[in-house]
Amino acid sequence: MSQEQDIKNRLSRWVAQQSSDYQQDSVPFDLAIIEQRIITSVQIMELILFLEHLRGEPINPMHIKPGAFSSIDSIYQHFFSEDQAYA
Amino acid sequence: MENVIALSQKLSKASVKRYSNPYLEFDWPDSLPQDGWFFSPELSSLYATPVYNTLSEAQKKRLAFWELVNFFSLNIHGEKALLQGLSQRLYSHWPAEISDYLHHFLGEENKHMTLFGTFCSRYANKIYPSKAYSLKEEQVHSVEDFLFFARVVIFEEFVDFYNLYMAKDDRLHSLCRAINQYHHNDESRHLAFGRKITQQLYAANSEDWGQDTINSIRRYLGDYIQATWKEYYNPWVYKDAGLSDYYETYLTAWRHKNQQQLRHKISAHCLEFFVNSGIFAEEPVL
Repeated sequence: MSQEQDIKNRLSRWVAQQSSDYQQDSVPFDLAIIEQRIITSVQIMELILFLEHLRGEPINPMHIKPGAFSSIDSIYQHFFSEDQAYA
Repeated sequence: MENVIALSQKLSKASVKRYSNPYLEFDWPDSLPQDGWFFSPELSSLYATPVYNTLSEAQKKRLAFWELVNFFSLNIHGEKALLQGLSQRLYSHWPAEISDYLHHFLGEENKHMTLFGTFCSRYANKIYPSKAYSLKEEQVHSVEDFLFFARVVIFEEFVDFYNLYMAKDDRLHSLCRAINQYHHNDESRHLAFGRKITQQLYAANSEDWGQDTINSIRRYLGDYIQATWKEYYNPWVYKDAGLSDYYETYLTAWRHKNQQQLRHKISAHCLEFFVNSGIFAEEPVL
């Protein structure tokens, strides 16, 4: 399994676990998790801590661009891909 | 607004009388002793959890130092948001007497930040970033005003508990106690103003808002309280204190029943205010 697939799988399971209304073990990578209220405002903070754990370094929320948390794909793109928006 | 105006006038007089200059009041030593306490151990975010009991006294003191840096950092972030919100409301739609007091409020908060910032920069060479990230939601003006002051009350009620406790804790380094005391001295006025205007804005507007908006306000404030508490549990504090598995340590500490009890104890006064004012129908989960 590629590192990208592994990270996206972990994120997908983590997001699914946060929502009491979501019945699956994982969410599709392109699911609009904010728009569909799978993740709430207060859970974003928890998500940032989980991302820090996966990255092994702190994240400053002031540097996060709008739309970064839209989906698993966008989270990966923003925080993990080589051309990541978050530096 | 009559009662808020009267209180603003009274608090403005008290602020003038107690006007202080932290640049002259504080001595900043070149360095701090490594073997001192800088944060009351009972208030540590790991206190009475399994990992805390495995630490030596020296490790507990090291953890306490970084807990203080985190506490001062979260004060800086909270006060930055406060300054923005207060300055937006200067000379707006409220009577001039309220702006008079907002000037004092702003000035005092700015002075607090210089103390916290000086301590963190000088002795820790860092300020921990806040993890708060808000998803922008448009609100009507009266809801925004109310939520701003409700957040002020929550933030300041919690920090004031720590300030008062640590100001009186004679195990702590004198500089740490003095900063906590200085902050508390002003916060008692800020809290009196915050509570009064929060109650007033709720009483004046809640009928017009309707039940859906009130339910949404309650959910938002419950989430805000939880998010505020989470800032006290910072995995990077545990890493700086030399603990391994710092993310796991964070998860364990946050969920531990002794820490939940500590949060309840510290939040009790604040939650009582929100329930008694009718803003909360019941206490939120902490």
